[in-house]
Amino acid sequence: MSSEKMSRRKFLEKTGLAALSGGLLYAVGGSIAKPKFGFAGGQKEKEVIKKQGGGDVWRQYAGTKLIFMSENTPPSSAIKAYSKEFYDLTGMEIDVQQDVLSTVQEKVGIDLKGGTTGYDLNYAQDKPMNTMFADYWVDLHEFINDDTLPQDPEGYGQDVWGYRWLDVTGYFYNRDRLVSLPYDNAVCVMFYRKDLFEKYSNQFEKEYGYPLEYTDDTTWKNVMDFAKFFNNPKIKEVEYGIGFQGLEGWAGQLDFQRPLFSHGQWEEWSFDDPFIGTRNPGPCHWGDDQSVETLKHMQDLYALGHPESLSWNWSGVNTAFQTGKVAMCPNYGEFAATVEDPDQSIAAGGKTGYGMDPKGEPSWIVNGGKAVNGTNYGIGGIAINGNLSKDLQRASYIFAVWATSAKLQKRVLVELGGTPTRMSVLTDPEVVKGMKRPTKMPNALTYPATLKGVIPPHVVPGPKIPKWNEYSVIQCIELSKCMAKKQGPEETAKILKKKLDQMHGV
Amino acid sequence: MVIPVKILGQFRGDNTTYYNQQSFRKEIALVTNNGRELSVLHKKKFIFSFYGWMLIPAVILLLVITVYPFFWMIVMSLFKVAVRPGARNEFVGFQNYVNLVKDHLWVKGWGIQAKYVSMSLTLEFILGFAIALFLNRLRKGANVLTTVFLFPMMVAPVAVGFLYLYLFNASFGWYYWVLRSLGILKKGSILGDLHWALAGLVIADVWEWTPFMALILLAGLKKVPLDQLEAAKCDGAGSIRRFIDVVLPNMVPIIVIGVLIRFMDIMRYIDKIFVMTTGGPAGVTKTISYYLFDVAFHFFELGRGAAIGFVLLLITLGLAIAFVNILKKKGVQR
Repeated sequence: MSSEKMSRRKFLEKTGLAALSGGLLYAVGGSIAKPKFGFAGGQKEKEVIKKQGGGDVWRQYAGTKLIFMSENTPPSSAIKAYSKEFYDLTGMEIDVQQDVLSTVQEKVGIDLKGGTTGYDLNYAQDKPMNTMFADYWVDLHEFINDDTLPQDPEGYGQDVWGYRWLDVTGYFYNRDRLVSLPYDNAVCVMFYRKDLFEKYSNQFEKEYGYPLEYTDDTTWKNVMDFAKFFNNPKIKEVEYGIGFQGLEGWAGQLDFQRPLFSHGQWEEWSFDDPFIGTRNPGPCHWGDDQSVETLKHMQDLYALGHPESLSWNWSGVNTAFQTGKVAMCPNYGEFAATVEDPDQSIAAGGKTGYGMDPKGEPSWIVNGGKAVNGTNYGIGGIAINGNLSKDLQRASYIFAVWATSAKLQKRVLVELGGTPTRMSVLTDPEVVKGMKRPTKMPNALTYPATLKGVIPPHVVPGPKIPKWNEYSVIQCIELSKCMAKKQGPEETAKILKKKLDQMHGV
Repeated sequence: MVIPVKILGQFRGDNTTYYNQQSFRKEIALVTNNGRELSVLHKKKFIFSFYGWMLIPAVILLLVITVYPFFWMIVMSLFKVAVRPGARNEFVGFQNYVNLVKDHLWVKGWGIQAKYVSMSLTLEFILGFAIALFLNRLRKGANVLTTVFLFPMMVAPVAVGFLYLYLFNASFGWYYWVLRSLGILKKGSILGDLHWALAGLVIADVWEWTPFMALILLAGLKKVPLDQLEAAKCDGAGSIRRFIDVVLPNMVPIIVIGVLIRFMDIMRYIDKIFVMTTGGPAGVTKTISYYLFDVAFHFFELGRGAAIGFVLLLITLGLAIAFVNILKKKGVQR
């Protein structure tokens, strides 16, 4: 045995070199030979299943692990809760990662544009996400017609989803590629304190000459009267009549769009088909008479709203409604679940009514258009990362089929308060029954208003343009200034015309 | 500098001729006051020495995570980065930089950034100094109190953002309730008000980072020579005079470090804005660093975002260097 001892320095030198060489070898080897994913079965077995079609098509990618990057919405939380069932069915693991939409947007954007595969499946929110990333997702037409993959028995035609929801979230700028399947809906309706409307009906009628009732024909002008009435400090139950959600970004864009569209179906740009959108919208309509006229009234409307309205999004205004700060708020159907929960809300127990978004006031329309109940939404889809290998795309498709199936959508709605996109669920007898009190599906209470609002002439899918995110920021900033009375309606419309046209190089 | 010849002798043997050689004189110029074998480290072929090999992984890592992205950012700022897969990036030269001047949000963002940085920094410095002086004078319980004061600094900025979002919330926020009850807040909103929103962010920032300033300044106070303070006292200087003439001049280097670190931090922070206001209402909290985030990761205009980032970096560096130089010229930098 040698008695020679290696010096400490020598030892460190050798081990350091060995570690460095090993690390380099691993890095080089890893980048070349790193398996994309593993199958429980071999390649032959997979091929047989694909060809036979009679094998268990659900399990052909057993052993694969998928990552779904989603917004923290109720259906995504539900899917996460049911991930064990997906594993049992397919042998695939699904890791549902959730975050706020802006973070999802950032992470998914970097992943897609960087050509990487950090997330196999992406939450595809129609405007903030899809207008930018649609080109980076897989065209689902190929998989929909593939009999070696599991398919939903209802199919994927336009009529199986809510009105043109497949177009809204699936097709961008043309019908060449279908990039996502509708997965959840967030349709805006009016939440109002029915108990207070009933209590103060007579008093209101004395003051304003008509009953304090919220109906499909209630106009934005009526809403202003209601707001004024409830702003009276003598009414102790609430602090303000109405709250808005003007937070800069998507919340504000949707909030401002409702009254704008209600009056003469005004939109920022002209579209051949607004449900599909366009890459080059041309000059915008800001600055025309209708835009200025509506802004004048919106300014008064916002002045009556809760002062926090410019900083709230859907959650903020919902908290205000739940805690009795406001008597009315336009909000998304999924929030009914918390409003109707007596542990969280003082507006629970039949105190809240859900109506269509207010109608345009005919006397405020100057463009000769219709007065409609301007209703907008966010339709979230599931899309597949286009950077994935073909096999991983197929495996991801299996998840998309499972997650958007009618069976699962109904379970999520009944058990966890989901937001289904399939008409078979929205018109299911049990769900229809749940649209009236007493119900175990509080979200279903909003569906009567939802189903009336999401069809023409009331629905406004929003400008589907590639620069949607920049547009929403520019518009929110200027409209917020206007609503805070720091800028006049005409000036605001003029500035918006200039900036949005400049954005598109018009 | 005193040359520790004896120490070098331990490494090289007693060779007087060698010490007198020009090459050795150059070498010993690298020797520090500590007299360690730094000269040996810096000798030729350092890169192939044991230390050189040991440092290579760290250097590579540093190059990968800092230098490479930095140069890539500069390159990217000269391109219009493709927005569709398969499309080529278009070289646009300095167009992204030229367009910044026409970008109203970019121009306005600098004004908001200036307000945010100056308000936060001033308040953090004044309050931090007050806390440091208080802790320095404490005879008992100073350690416990210092730990308590440091607590906000240990919370993640995003968590602080949420904390203040809730404290300012009009539905259940405690700060909101206090401000309304005291009649300070008349119209009833903090983060939704065009005048208050930025102040709300500053309050959150000051709460979190004043302890950092206090900690740095406390370290500086401990270093103020007691003999100078005692001499000043013997000469009849009052406490304010002693503070101005003895404490402050001795503190200048540490003040410079503290202010510089905070300045560079505030210039780039967006966490609280992201959580509390997303740049609103009406863009009044859209600092230039938040706008950078918007452009790069919200609009995904990566070339434009890189140009904003590079200009922000240059201006931050320029201001920091100018600040240090001004202090040097005044002879206060030691």
